[in-house]
Amino acid sequence: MDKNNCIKYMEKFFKLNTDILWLKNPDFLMQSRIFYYRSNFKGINDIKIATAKSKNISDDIVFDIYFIRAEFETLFSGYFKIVPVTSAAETMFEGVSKLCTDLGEYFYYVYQNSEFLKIYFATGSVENALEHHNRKKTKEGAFDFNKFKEDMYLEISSYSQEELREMVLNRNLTKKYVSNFIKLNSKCSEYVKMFLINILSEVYIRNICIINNAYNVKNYILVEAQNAKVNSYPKVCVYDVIEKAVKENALVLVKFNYDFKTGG
Amino acid sequence: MGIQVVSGQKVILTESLESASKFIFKMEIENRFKGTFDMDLFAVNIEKNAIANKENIVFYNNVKDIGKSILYSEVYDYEIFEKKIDLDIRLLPEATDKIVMAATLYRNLHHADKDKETGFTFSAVNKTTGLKIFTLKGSIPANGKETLVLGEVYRYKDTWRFNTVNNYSDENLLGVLNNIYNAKVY
Repeated sequence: MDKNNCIKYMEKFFKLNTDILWLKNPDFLMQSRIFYYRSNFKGINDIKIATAKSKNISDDIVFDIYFIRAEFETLFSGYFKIVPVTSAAETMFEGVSKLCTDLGEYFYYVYQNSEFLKIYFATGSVENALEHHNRKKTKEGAFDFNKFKEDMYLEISSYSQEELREMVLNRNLTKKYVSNFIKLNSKCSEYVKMFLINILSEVYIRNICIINNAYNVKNYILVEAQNAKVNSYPKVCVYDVIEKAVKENALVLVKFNYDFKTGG
Repeated sequence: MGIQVVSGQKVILTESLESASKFIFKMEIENRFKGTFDMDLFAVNIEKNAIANKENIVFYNNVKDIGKSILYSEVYDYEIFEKKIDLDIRLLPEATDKIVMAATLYRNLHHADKDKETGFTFSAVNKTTGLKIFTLKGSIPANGKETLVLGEVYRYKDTWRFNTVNNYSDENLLGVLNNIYNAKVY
């Protein structure tokens, strides 16, 4: 399924409602910069712009779309925050980013990374989607955050205070590290842009710890221009790690890899 | 004390190939804007064929080059940010043409701070003798400009020297490497 088909499916299964008068026909292709540059939105820090509901009411998938007013160099001019309202919506967005700048790109990304949405589109049944999601989550070999955390903390504890001081970058300068990464790298993919927005957001900033290459650490999230992945579990979605880290108040190590190609 | 250098001034680091080869280059920046302004020190090994291996660009994220001839460290204190490059000239690869020392400038300033400036020093110490060789003092307008080229370590006959540049650029580090040094990163 390509992006256009995915949006058609979103429109087939969901209805968008808004209380904003000038937003006559909200759709799943909206971009955050449209709101950012509207003069009547200039004084607003965050606002609910739409609510999406499953057309089949008994499926009870409901989520809100908020516009957040923030700007960061070439990365974004405002962004959207998805807030699941019902438990089915929570399942749909489990393990994926909830921040984005372009809804069209975003829902295609969610489709590619959410087993729930894939099955829901294929069968139209929320029960099927939930069952498939739960089966995948509990099957043998599924990602175990506690093991990841334990391995990472064990690894960190093997370094001396001095070594950690050399390895861990200044936690007050996350914005600077993201800014330099954008300037000194090739153009970031939409997926990486989304991850960088997450790193900069208030939700994750306390749980992120950026490291350099001083030592050969294994358990971290590697961010490159085209991809962001969990180094020791490359098939696991980075949000599976970060979201659980937020819930458990744990740290996640993040390492940037610079390619020094034309900045984007 | 060492000498105070200005743009264009050349300083001899090693008198001969047998001289002590270890040096510390240190940049100190006043933390005048409480973390909303920073300078990041880069040491870029440019080879004789005008290319730079990205593994040999040493800075906060890549703290050592392939041959461990250039090592980076930093300390963030309340009043001063200190960024240091340890250079062992004898460990540099044969292909080295020069090491460009440059600083990228980062700002996330409050509006009231935009017309101010902050001071920095860049100095070199001979690690074997402990003697300071030179100091470059300057001040940076908080607003504008992307990169400050501090200078270059290069070989002339049997000596290694430092050429003071102290020149600001509107381009980012890649633009400077490309347009001033005609160097490509691979």
